[in-house]
Amino acid sequence: MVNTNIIIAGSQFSGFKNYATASFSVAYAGGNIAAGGYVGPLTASTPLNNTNAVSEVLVQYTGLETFYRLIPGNIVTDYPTAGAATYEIQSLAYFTGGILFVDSYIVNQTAGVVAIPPITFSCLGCLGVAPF
Amino acid sequence: MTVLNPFALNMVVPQYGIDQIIGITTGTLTTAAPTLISSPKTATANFAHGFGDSAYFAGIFTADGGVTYNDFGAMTPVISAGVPVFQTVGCNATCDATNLTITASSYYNFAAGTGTAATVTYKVYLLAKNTMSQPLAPLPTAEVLQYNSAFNYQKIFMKGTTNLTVGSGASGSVNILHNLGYIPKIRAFRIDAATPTILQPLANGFVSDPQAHITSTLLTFAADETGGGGINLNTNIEWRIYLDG
Repeated sequence: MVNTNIIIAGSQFSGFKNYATASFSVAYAGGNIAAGGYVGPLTASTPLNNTNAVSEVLVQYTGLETFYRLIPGNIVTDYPTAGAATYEIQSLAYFTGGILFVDSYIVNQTAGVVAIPPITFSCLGCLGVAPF
Repeated sequence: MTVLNPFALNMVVPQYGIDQIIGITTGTLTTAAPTLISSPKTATANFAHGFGDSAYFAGIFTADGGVTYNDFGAMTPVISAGVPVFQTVGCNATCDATNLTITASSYYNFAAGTGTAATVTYKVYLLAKNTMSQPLAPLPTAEVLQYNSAFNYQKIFMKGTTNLTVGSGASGSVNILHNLGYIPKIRAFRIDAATPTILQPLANGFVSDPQAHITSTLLTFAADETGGGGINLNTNIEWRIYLDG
């Protein structure tokens, strides 16, 4: 019997080991996007070897907001809201080889030109080893 | 504490708990080739974990024979086709009291006009939840020690369950104060009121999905249901905030 609220000093369980972290970013200078248009991919990347590891990736749209968003693979956000969106930002986190990529796209959601402010896509990546 | 007798047995007593990995599973799934009207094609496996309760989980998968692994929920976009294609090959899972259900998906490439079968090899670990039915019989893993001081284990600073209810046409959020002074690691899963036995990842890539927002003082779960895809969201989010930044 195991109490899952306390640490058991023994075998069978194992924790999740942090072994690498990274901070990386890409900047978008701002500009106008025509109707039906988009900007991207705006790619931020960093070397991280994720074999046998699970990542946690966060992105902050610096210039738009001051918090980090957790990217569970892919997140989509409308500005200012989905019901009154003028533009949409989609960010995808994925690995190719030993590189972590965060690609972001800014998509015009209106029938006219949309002015986008400067945005820095500030990313935090962390790898944790699991006993696979 | 002063060690008066260095030859006596001295124990390390951790102040913070760590995640408890209670099982792992690996396997391979092969999907059929999707067509324009049958996309995506999926293949599913059930792993009977035997816990008698759902569990947290995280997984990685490879669709290229092990050259590249990605986290569950991620898809490698195809960018070279002119119009970027975001939905390609993916893998994800849900967990209930009986099974971890792993699903691999292969999407039709609308830009290239092609659909290909996908063979996905996955690796998943299962974690004990914040509260879990007991007794629990963990599955053996390759690790013989729970703790090895050569590594920095993620230490659980706070944990809990928070309900996020946002009606269709509205947006809303709930805050959890942590006051750590830096951006901590977090983990979160959702159990929707409509499917109360199924634990699933926080988001799947839709505007209406709940998101986790993190500052140096707050963890916020937020949902925007104001758009055409907005739903009546009622979900319990189980979360952990780690001491690790």
